Amino acid sequence: MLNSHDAPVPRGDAAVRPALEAALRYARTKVPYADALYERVFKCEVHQLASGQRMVKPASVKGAVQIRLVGEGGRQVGVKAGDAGIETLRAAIDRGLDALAAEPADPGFGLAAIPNPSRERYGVAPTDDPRDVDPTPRLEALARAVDALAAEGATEGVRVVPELWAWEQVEEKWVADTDGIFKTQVMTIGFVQVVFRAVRGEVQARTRVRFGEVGGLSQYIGSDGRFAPEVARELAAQRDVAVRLLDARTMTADELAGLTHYVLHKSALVFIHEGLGHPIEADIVRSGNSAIVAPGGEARVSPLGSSVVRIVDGSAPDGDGNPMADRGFGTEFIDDEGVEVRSAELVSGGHIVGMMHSRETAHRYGVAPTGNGFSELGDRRIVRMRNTVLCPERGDHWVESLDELLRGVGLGVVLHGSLGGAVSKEGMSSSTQYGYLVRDGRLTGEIILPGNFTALTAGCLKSVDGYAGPVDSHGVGFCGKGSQLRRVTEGGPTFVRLGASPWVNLTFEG
Amino acid sequence: MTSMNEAFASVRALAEAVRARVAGVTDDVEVRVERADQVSYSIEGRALIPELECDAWRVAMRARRGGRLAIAATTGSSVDDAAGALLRSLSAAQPDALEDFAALHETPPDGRGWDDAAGALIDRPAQVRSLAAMMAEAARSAAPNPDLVLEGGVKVGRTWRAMATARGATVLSGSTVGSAFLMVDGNEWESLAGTAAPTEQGVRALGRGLVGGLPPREVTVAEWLGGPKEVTVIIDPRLLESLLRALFLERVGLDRVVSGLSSAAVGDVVGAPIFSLFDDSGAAGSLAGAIVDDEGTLGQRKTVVERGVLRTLLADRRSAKVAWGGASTGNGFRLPLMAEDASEAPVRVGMGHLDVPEGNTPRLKLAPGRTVLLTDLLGVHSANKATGAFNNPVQGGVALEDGVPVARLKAGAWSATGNFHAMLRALSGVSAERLHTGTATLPWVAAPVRLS
Repeated sequence: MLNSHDAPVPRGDAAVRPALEAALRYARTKVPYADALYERVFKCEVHQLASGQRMVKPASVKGAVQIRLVGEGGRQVGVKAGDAGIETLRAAIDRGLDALAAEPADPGFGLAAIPNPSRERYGVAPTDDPRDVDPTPRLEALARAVDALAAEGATEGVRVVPELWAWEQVEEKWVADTDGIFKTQVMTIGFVQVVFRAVRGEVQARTRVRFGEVGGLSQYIGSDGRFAPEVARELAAQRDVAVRLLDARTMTADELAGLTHYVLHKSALVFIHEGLGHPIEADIVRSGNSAIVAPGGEARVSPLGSSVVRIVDGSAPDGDGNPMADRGFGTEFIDDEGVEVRSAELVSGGHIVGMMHSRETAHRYGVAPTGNGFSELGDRRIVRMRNTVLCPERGDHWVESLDELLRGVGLGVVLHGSLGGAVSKEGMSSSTQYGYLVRDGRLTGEIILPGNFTALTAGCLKSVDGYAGPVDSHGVGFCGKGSQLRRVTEGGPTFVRLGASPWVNLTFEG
Repeated sequence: MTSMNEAFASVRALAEAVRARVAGVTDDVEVRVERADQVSYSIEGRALIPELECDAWRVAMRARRGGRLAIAATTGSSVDDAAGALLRSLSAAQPDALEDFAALHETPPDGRGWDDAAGALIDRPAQVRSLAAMMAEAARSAAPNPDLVLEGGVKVGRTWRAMATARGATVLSGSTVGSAFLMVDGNEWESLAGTAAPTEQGVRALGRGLVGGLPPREVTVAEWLGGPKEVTVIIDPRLLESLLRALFLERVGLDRVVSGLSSAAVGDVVGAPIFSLFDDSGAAGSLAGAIVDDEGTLGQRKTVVERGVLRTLLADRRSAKVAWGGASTGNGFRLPLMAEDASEAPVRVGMGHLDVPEGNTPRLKLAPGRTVLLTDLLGVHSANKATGAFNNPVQGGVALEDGVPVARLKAGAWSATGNFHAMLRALSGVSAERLHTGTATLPWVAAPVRLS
């Protein structure tokens, strides 16, 4: 377990801090308030394409600064600058001032105060820091291990073609403002994605598996070139599923019409993020684009879900749903406005009870910021999710095993995996990678081809009626909002059961 | 304010300095430098949110040594950072079939993608703000419903690039981008994009046309078609482009063929006889056209499909070498996936400006009787790249009765299922009108899709 005690100081702090402070002093001569965010990322990476081409990039560096200028009357503008040199920053401020002059007054604009203003340092020091220790052997070992695993999955007439994308990055950020706030954070994040394509003549099938967590790649592959046991198991399982999918089928129209339940594996919970997370982001609410919360902050739909639905966004939870401060692919200690990240309870007992906030939206709604204000490398800070997870209260509805959960299911389907989702105002859509039919309370061996799971936001949670297994922020992904991407997860108990309803639908290709 | 000459000199200097720094320890090197500015105003409900970007540098580098390929990327204008990253990557270089980088020829700075008005507008953010406000106001003034929820924005940007390899000259180019996008109630949308600056007339027409053109009534599949049904639908050029780039590329990219993921071969019947497709990676005035692709091969126009028959596979330098022992088609692009920045992304085979010749039928007459015009599908990126199959919710579209728009498709209540490769073979109509999307010039087409 990592922890944030003795948080490290970002490299180059002695040069960056004075540059940001000088820029902010300059800005303060022009506007009442300004803040600055400098993000810098050192990344080492391996790509292996389906062609077999392998690319190892031991050192990529990127960074950018976002400066926010707040003028009289709530006028405000954000400017992104390519680096933290003082001349670049002054030029960016001057350009921002031109834009600020065109802004009308916005009396409702303000920024909620940054809690714990005196604490400066956050984060965890990298182990085997890839800036100092050549990461190439570990990256190459990953690729070799994936190749070997794929080769072991080949059967008569079937090739398994792997693709790998893995990286470890050291993320450093500085947040400062004209009121004297100065905070930094250092985080290491590791990510592995493997795609297995099973190919038999003209027929292809694929599965994709991802791992992502605070910390480096050593948590996935050891110095001996072997995967961690749980990683090896998961990869082998997904490889074998890809091969089995060559002989899978779709559900028939009769089966779809007769479905009594959907059971979503934790790898297929992207609808929590897409359909329920985005509409509770306070900036989307304010713009009028949420189907479930009105711009004033009151719920449009109440209850949103059944009484057993509880959704939390924050650092990743443990198996019981309690937050762990330093775990989860979407986790940070402070957001990109310097606000310490705290868990935000969004839905409890089926009712919407909170929203995710940046400093700006927190001010508008008169609440404390939740640490959801994030930027993609110098872009404008907007409200973003972190780890958005179904964390139910304990009760009879939450059982230990899938077998128990399936009791009483007449005709159901257990859906696994997703290759991505998308959201509209009314609902969401996500692909499913595969499924298994359930008949009379028992899981059958009938494997189902990829489909498309759609859910209407206003009602899809109403038929959630049971859970099985521990909570896990399993769904590692990258959320696009506007033109920005951010690492996130979604998750919940190992299995989530929904009764069939007009709010959810499953369809198949072809 | 950065002058054109100063900007070109700065990107050239960085590219050539990195090249010089690694010349003694590499067999060949490729350095691509970009320097960009951007101004955008987002429409979020009633608010207009400014966002400016100044002096964003991106450096993408590859080097060869002893038959191995090294890759690195940085942002910022530091030669030390860029050369340091590339030198460090040499120790991680991997065996690769790519034998050399492009030999570049001396040319004047290329401005085929540059629009002076767009370039100048970046230094006048108040005018960009005004364009966004005009677009929103035009939409609201055309709306019967004052509670209309709008999102979108107007953006202008300019980029200067330098591409240098160990052999030949440094190629310089500049391009601009201007775009406007507007979505109503999170569903129906309209856009314009290109190298030119958006105009007052253009953004007003966009806002007014989007909202004013929407029928007040909305229908479900059951109400309009009597239930799930396969019908011949009309596909908007922007959806056609999305499907071509997401799915058809998986079939005609030579790197996919080399990998065994596509069995396509020249001479295959891949479309109806009424369908032809050209790829022009050097198209002037296109956001998908440039003097050279991302590995220095000259942009060029290719016939990909001629009257339904595949004529050319699209190649980058590596796949061309492996498959043909020959030249790239100028389709090597750094196409980012998910969290990749473009400068970090590996070179992959991509599409340039797409061009499908027009047919002779008015677009709304492409499919008679009761049908729909599909503007967009939600999550096309998750369609099945291996098979070309898709199955996605509809986002935007209208119900047509003998070519007359009579209702909107109820948001969240429609989905479309099909196989894009089969659809191309079964195209039953190509419109007389075409739309310039910024990266393609395409007609509306008619094809069978199952709606549910």
